[in-house]
Amino acid sequence: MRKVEKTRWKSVRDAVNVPLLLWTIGLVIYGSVVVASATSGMTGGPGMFRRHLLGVAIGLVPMIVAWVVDYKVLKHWSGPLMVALSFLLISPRIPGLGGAAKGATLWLQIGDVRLFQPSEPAKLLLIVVMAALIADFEGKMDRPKDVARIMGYLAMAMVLILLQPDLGTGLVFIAITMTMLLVGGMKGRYFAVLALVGALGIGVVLGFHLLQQYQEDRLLVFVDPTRDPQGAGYNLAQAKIAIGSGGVSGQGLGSGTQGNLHFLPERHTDFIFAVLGEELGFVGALLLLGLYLALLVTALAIAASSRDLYGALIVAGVIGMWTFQILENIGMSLGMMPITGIPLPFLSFGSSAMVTNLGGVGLILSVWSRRYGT
Amino acid sequence: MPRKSGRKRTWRFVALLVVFAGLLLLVVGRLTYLQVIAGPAYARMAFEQRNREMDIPPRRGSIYDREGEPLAVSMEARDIYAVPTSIKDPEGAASAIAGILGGTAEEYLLKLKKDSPFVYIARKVDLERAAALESLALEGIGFQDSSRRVYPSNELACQVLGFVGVDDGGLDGIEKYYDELLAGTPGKLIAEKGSRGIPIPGGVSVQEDAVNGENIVLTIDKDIQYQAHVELQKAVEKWKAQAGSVLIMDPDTGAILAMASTPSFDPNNFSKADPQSFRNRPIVDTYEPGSTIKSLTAAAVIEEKLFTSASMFDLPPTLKIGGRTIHESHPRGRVQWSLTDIVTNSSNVGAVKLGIALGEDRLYAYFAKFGLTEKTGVDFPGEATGWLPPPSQWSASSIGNIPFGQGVSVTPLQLARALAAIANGGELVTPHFLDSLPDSPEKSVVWPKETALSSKTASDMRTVLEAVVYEGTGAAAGVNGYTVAGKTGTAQKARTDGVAGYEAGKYIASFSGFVPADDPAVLIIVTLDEPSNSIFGGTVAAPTFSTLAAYCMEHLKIPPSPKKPVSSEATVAPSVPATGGSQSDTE
Repeated sequence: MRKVEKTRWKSVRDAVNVPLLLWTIGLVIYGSVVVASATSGMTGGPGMFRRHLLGVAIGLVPMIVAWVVDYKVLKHWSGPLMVALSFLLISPRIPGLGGAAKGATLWLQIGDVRLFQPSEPAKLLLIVVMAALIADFEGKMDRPKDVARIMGYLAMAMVLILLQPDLGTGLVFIAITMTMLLVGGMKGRYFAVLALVGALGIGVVLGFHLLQQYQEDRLLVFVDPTRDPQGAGYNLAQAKIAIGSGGVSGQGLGSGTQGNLHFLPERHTDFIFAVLGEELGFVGALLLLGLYLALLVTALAIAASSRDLYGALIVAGVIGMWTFQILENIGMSLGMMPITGIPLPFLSFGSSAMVTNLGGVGLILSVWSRRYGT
Repeated sequence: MPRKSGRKRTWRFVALLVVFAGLLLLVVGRLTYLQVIAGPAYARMAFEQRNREMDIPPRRGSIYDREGEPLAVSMEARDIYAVPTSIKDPEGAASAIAGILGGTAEEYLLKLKKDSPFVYIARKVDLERAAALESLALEGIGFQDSSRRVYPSNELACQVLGFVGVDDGGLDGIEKYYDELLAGTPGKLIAEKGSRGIPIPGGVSVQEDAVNGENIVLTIDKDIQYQAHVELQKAVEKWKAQAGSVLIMDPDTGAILAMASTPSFDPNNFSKADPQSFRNRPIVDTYEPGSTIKSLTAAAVIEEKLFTSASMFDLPPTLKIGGRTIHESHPRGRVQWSLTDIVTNSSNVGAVKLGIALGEDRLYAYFAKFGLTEKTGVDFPGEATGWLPPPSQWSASSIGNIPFGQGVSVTPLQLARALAAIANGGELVTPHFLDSLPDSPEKSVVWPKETALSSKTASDMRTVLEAVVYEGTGAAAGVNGYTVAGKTGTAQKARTDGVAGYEAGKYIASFSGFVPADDPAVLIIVTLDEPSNSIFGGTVAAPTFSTLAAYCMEHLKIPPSPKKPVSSEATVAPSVPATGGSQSDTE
């Protein structure tokens, strides 16, 4: 085991990436404002808003811990972390611990107390574990068995997450792994092969009707949005009406009728972007996209500045997680992607996701603050 | 770590950035389309789905008889609906509803468990029961203002009045014909609604007030209508008829005082009735009028000055026309009869002789003048037209049966209108139900009239028809103290199975007449469809005519006729074939 030297920061600027923190704070504030508006008309709305802020407060803990702890330590903990990851993914299925929501077992709960959604922190664990595995190839992944090895780990994680079943998180796992493989030096031809395998896999899944009925309906609605506007297509139709009716400048915060009159389902979680689009309009949506772009560009710069491949891979994993979630969540509200229950980073109501995203910021800061080490 | 590998990695980050930025650009493009280009269209969709224009139901106008007695009125009521998703205890709610509204808990449970945001539990519930249910304050059960059509006299004039549907639209009868007047104009309110269709408190604004419907007054006289209804019922029962109708009209104006048909129904509960009972028979049913038509043939002959009522005719027992032999309904030998005798004895051979004297064209022209080729124009929906083809379509034997009412069909109302011209001095009036519009007196209703006959001919014919009652087949129609004029009718029913000819043993018996004969106040037609025991109009229909005529004279305070009072025997002794051979009718 290599010795990890203690970090010594010469100045605050060394430890703190001001732009990253700024974009994060901006997104958290923006998200809180929109969540406050989205929940205001709901029964127990103020309580939900307080829970959202509590999630932000709790999220500061993993963020600071991940920041202060040298990320290189994590590389030596891969084994225990893998065990922890497996436990998180299985935990909702353990009798006495699991809690159901909308047909899937997604919650970890003891008695009647819901703790959190284990699939959220599992994303960070997957990033850290995958980073250690991929970093071992030192940027040269040209043997099929190298790729197969990574795919084997990914497959194990996928099997566990699909048992819940949580297809959305499974897709995030794939996005995370692919981003890390790109940064980790996997040859271009393997991406082509994987894309082919993926397409075949989708074909098999659809051909043998392996999806749940509601998932298949969502896909069909994605292909033909006018199908079943009162049923499976309802969410999408209402989201598009909400976003479209926002126009250029929006209806004003708290004045969105689609959300407040209960036309828009899941408006504080999966369809929070539709609330933002309706109330703050094109301008508000562009502001959000600008913040995301700034966050991701800053994170990419940090990944590029990492002194080792392991750090770069961790940052890339977080970038992959956010990128996929942003594009999928906004895309589904706009009818560009099929509907899956994936939260919008920093915006959607939900403490588990908030804690995970702030933890991700902590990991990136950890890599940034140690860029000059040996 | 060597710098080289760091640089080597850089392009991979740039690639990531390019991919992300490219996808983000797609998102921005899509946003531009949705929000900037299609924004107004989506804003309209949002407005439409949350704002619903709702009607404020107007109050339907009432229907009164000529003396202001209500025949149809609208009462305040409630529609009761449920929002199934917000019902916590469907079983409890269903049994509570059944306890108050009646019915079984199961049928309500089915509605309460429906996968729908809105379902009607019951409509047009009276205020009392609605209030009882409202006091239970069941969650998810709502109430809407509504109104309920009530017919206070139940079956009385049911086919005339018709009924209204669940949304208060007139579906039949006067309710349908005058629906526009009665219905009023709904008001509008814009209600902002949530996705479950429930108006949001404070989101309701009235755009336009409802304009209530107009009240209308009919020419129907409720008392006469009641007598007509009861007497018709009695006659149908006594003669075991399939159906029957009574029509009472003021011959001077065409105002219909009563119109009853049997079988009848309760318009308060029309949905459970046999649709056959909805038929307002004097207007929507046609039949072969038979002998009654002989009075029109005779009137045409007199009007054309071919003969007078006293002209004598030599009548053989039968007559052969166009290969067809005309019989009398009661065989007789060769006789010398006057025109009056032909009518009073209802001679088929005599009527054909009159028809031949007129010729096909003139016979048709007179029947047309009497309105037999057109609708009467009565203010009632679904009026039937009879069947009387122009002479160009007649066969060689047509002139041998049309003059006594075969091969022709009419509605009782068409016949009433024709006979009214004889009764009132020659005017063809428009039969009608509407008397006045009390809410808009400026709208005066004028019913067209035209001249069909000279008053001299009309007067002569009244005398002829009076003789029918005093000397002929209509003796049972007499009314004590009043002169009566009229004509019996006994017609075979045409086959309905598509084969030409008549149904054996199936007759329509009728009596048509007016009182007092010299200055008629009422014209009455009594028709019985397929009577048993006897088939003759003089036996079956004339007594009912007599009873109703007597009632009308008393009710309308018509002074008794000065001369020719009818003998008491004539009224009491009905048309038992005592008068024997004179009981001849169409065969």
